[in-house]
Amino acid sequence: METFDYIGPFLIGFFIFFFVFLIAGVSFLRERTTGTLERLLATPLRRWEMVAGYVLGFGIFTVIQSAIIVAFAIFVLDIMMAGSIWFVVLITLMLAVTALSLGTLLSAFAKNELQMIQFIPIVVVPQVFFSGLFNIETMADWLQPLSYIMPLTYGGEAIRDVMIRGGGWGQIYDEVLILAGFSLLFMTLNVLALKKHRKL
Amino acid sequence: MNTVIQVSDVSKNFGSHIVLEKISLQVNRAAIYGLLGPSGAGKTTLVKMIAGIETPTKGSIKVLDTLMPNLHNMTKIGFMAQSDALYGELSGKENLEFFASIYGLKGEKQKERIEHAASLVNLTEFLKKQVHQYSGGMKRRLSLAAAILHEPQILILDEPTVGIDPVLRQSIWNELYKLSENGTTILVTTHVMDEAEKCSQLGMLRDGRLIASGSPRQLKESTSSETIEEAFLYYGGVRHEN
Repeated sequence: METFDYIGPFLIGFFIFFFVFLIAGVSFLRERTTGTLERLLATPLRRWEMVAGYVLGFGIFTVIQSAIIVAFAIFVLDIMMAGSIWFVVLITLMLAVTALSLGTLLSAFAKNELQMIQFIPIVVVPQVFFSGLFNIETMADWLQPLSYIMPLTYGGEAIRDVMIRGGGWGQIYDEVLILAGFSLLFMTLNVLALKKHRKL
Repeated sequence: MNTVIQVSDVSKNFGSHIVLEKISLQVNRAAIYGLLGPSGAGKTTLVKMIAGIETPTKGSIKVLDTLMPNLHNMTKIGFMAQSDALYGELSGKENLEFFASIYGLKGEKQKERIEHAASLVNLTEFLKKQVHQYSGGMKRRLSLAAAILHEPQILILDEPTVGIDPVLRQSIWNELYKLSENGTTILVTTHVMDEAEKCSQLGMLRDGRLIASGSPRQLKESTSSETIEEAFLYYGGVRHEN
C-alpha cells in the first residue's frame, strides 16, 4: 500500500466537505443579500420547507459530485479500493449533506461572501486534523475530545473502513447515522436561525 | 365599505431604535392606498409587517380579519419588495415559473397566468432572456409580474416605480387602476409626491409617525395647499412647532 492509497480516502472526504460547504454557504448567503430570501419569506412557504428544499435541490448535485469524485479517485487515480464503491458514494453523500446543512446554517452569521471565506480556517481547517490523516491519539489530550464534534472524523473513518479495510454496512452504519444526525441538527438550527427574518 | 387592512396602534423598534410609533390606519377593499414619506420614514418596515414578514413590537395588524403574520393569509397577498428579488442566472420565464409554483399554480393555469402577467408589464418578448441582462426597469416590471401571478386580493408594492421611465410608469399605474377596479386592494409606498396624487387614499409618514391621512383632495383642502408636497410640509411643520 502506497502513501497515496492511505491519503486518498481522506482527500475524497475532505474535498467533498470543503467544496460543498463553501458553495452551499455562499449561495444561501446570496439569497439573503440579493433579497430573494425576503421575497420567499413573503410567500406562504414555511421555513423548514425552504431549508429542506435547499438541501434537496443541492443534494441532487452533490450526488453527481460525489459519484464523479469517487469514480475519478478509484478508476483514474487507481486508489486502493478494498470494499464496495457504493458504500463510498453513500458516505461521501452523507458527508456532502452535512457540509451542505452546515454551510447554509453558518451563512446566517456572515454578512457577505468574504465573511463566508473566513469560516474556512474556523470550520474547515480544524477538521483536516481530525479526518484521519493524522493520528488523533498523538494529539494533545485536551484536543482529542474535539474530534467527536467534527463531522469529518466520522466521514473519514467510514471511507477508510470501506476503501482500505474492505468494510461493509456493518462497519460504517454508525458513522453514516451520526452524519445523518449532524445534518438534521444543522438543518433544525437553520430553521431556527431563519426566525431572525420571519417569526412564523 | 369593508376594511381589508387594519393597522391598530402599531409600534416597531429594532433594539432601542424606534422605527414606527403608534401607527393606526385602515385600507378599504379595492382602494389604492399610498404611503408617502421620505426614505427612512419607516414605510418599508410598515409594509413588511402588513405582508407578514416582520412582526410589530406593539399593536396588531389584521389583514382580511385575520391577525398577521399568518401563512394562509400570505397566499392572498402579492408582495413586491424594494430590491428586485430575482434570480439573475434564470430567464424571466423561469423566475415567473418558480414563483408561480410556490403559490401552487401548475400546468395550463400557470402558463396562462405567466403569459398574462408578462404581457401586463410588456415583457413577453424578453421572457427567454436571462434576468442579469435585463435593464433596471425591466427587472422592476418582472418583480411586479411575479407579485401578481397568483391573483392576490391584496397587492403590496414597495416603491414600484423607482427607476422606471415616465411612459412606463404611466402604464404601470394604468394597470394598478385596472386591478383595483377588479377588486384588488393596493398598498403602495412612494416618496414621489406627484405619484401620491394618483392614490385614492394617502397616509403621510415621517420619522416613524403617521402625520396625516385621507384622500389627496381632503389633505390639500384641509391645509389649503395647491399640491400634496405643500400639504406634506404643512403637516410636517405643525409637528415641529409643538
